Amino acid sequence: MLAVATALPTSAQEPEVAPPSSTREGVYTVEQAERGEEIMHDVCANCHMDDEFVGTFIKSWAGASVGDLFEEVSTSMPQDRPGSLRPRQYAQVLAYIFQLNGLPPGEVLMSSSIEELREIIIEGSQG
Amino acid sequence: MRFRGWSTWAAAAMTGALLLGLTSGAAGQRLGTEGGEWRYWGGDEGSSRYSPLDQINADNFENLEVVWRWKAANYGPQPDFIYRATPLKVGDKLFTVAGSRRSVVAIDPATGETLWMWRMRNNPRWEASTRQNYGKGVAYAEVEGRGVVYVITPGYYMAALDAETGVPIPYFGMNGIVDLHLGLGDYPVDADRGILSSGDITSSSAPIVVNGVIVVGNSHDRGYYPRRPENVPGHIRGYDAKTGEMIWKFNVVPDPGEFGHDTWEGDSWKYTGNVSAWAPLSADSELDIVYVTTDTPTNDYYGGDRLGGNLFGTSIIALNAQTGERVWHFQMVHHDIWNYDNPNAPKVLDVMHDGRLVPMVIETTKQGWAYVFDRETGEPVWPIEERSVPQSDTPGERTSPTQPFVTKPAAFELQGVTEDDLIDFTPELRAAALELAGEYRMGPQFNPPSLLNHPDGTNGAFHAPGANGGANIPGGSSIDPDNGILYVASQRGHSVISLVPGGEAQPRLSNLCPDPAVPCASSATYVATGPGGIRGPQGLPLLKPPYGAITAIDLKTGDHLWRIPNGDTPANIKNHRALQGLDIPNTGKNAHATILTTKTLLIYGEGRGQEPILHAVDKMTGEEIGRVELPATTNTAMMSYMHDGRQFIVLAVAGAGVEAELVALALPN
Ligand code: HEC
Repeated sequence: MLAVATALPTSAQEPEVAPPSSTREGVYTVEQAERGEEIMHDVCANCHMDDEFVGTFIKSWAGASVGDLFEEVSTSMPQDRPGSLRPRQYAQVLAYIFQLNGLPPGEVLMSSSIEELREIIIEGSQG
Repeated sequence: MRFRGWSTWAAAAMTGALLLGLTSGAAGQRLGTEGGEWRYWGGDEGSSRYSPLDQINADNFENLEVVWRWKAANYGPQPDFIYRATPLKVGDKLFTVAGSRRSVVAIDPATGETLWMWRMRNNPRWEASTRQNYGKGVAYAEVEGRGVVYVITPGYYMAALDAETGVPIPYFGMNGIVDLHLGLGDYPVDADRGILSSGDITSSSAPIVVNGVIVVGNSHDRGYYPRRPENVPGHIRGYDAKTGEMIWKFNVVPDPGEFGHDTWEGDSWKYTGNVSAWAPLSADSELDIVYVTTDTPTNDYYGGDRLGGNLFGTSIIALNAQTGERVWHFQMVHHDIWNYDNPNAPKVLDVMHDGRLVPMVIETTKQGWAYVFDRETGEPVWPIEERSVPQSDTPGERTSPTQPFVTKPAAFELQGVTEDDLIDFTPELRAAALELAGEYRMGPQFNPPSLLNHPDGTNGAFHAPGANGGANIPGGSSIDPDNGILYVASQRGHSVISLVPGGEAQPRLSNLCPDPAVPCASSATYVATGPGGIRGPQGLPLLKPPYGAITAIDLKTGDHLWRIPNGDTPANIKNHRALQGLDIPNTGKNAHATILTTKTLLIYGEGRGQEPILHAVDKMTGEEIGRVELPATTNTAMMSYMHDGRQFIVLAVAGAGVEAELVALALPN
């Protein structure tokens, strides 16, 4: 992608900028995380509390790509109906998980294409 | 003359016996399915998952082609993505269930055409059911010459349907239906909705019919963080196959005066529930015994609200099918706080062992052990020893001082987690794995769950196999009665259990806690935050491979014959950035292979979410013989039958984005 673009300031008025390459760079929108919270509590909370997705969870995924995590979750979860959410809903759930972990929202809508998400590396909020 | 005739016959019989003994080493009295049929969920009443057919064999396996596909997606308000059913084949029909309404269907075995369909009218009990999905199938029996199909619905009713037409049998229960909430015990009912207000009970498995009695199991919602310590126990009932009348009840949480009552301290027997028999049942109709296996009492990971040994939690129970009387039992885990619910239909077969034909019953488990008993007496075939285990330091918890350890056959999956078990593909990955795991308590088999934010700085405790490890329902096990071999599919997996006080647990479940503004905690003293484990670094599995395997165990000796990984190394490992340039032997897939044994082959699919490939391997060596592609990934064990001279294999497929269907394979005509 456009390597120079990362050096440019990003704002809503300049939608052509290169997508972020790390979860620290604002990879999802606030609205996505809000939708993700609803899905998490409607669908996933039957088996997972939010606590499961903070701390070690994000540390262990650090270094993998968002695409890897997307692929894992979208093929195996929810365990009783794997793959039953739409791709954009899986992206919303991931957005909520990133928000839980203190990773910043941004202006760019997180993609629901595994290939595009493979370009974004997961990093925790600190360290 | 008469004498000679007799001796000739005797000699022939003896030669036959000898031959059997010589060629197979195991005299299989139970030869699995008969007549090319598949009359029970597990093939036969002993759940062998064995078919003696051999039209499909090593020479032609790769010629298998899809003959028909039957779409299950339209049965129910939304498509099903995890189809867990195994059809029966009786005469000229297949019988199975589909979708969240658990519609019962009859299907033409040659073409896949739907012949009839029945479903229960919608009602609040369906809405409230915690097991709309996961319907595994139906039971079949002949009652006064008429074929009858029995199903347990998500709302926990039992229906009896005419096998020819699908029409409910009028003289069974009330117009063909029996309400399974009735006769369970004195549990409060929510009058408005007609559901039990003290808990949930349903079933996902078929019942089993033994000598005219239908034995009914049950299941519950998952118990990681229930809203309360109270629930309904999964009592086992027997019903008249003709009338639907309840004949007996066996209390899995014993009443005062009943055997085992003293294993529940205080009032815990009054309110504790679960202990469901959710796995399919097996039977030996000659002995007139049904083999029932149970799960953990309420609250999978904390037992402080139910101190004591908790009989008949996590047990195998042999019951007289006519009376419900206990013939014998064995508790696999005392005071279970690991969610080690028994996941498989027990296997029934006779094996030559120590010079005698032993009537065995075998349960393969999430603990990674196959428990082998004499099914008449309950005597373990190889010693099972009580050994000391680590003790919990969670307030209010009292772990059992000992647990039963199976001495043979050896465990078929990794048990316990130590530093040695963490990945070591590279020194960097190993160091990172150690750091991630360092927050949690490692330990041997039966390492007890521990607190999140424990004062000693830890955040929970490992146990392995965990929630999704060891053996489980999707793959399960199968047997080869000719050779006395048990095949078991297992997955490597651990859980890390972090306990939080129930009052601090806020599972906001839309169905249980409809108002997000109202705090929704649990009245259990402690609950787990969930069943999962932790990943290793960079999203890699934390534990060393193989991630999934099939193990062959010779029941004549108790020794492992071979062990193979489930399929090939998955793409996410093969293509992982951190592993490029490394030489990594086949890790297998992290799923339960779904297995079937035939006269000459062990056939398996790779299981939930994995590659859509059907493999055939040599039963004696585990060597791969062939593979064919499937339209989608398999989620549950398959079945095989003969119809009009053609052998079929039918399996349920579904997965991410792939709606549920049955797929029938056979050789080209
Ligand atoms: C019916 C129960 C159930 C539901 C519903 C469910 N899960 Fe899971 N989940 C599990 C279990 C059990 C595991 C651990 C074993 C496994 O991998 O299957 C797990 C594991 C996971 C993991 C892997 C953790 C790791 O890093 O290894 C993630 C991520 C996850 N679930 C996310 C979700 C999301 C997101 C949803 C909702 C869309 C969801 N789950 C719904 C039962 C469930």
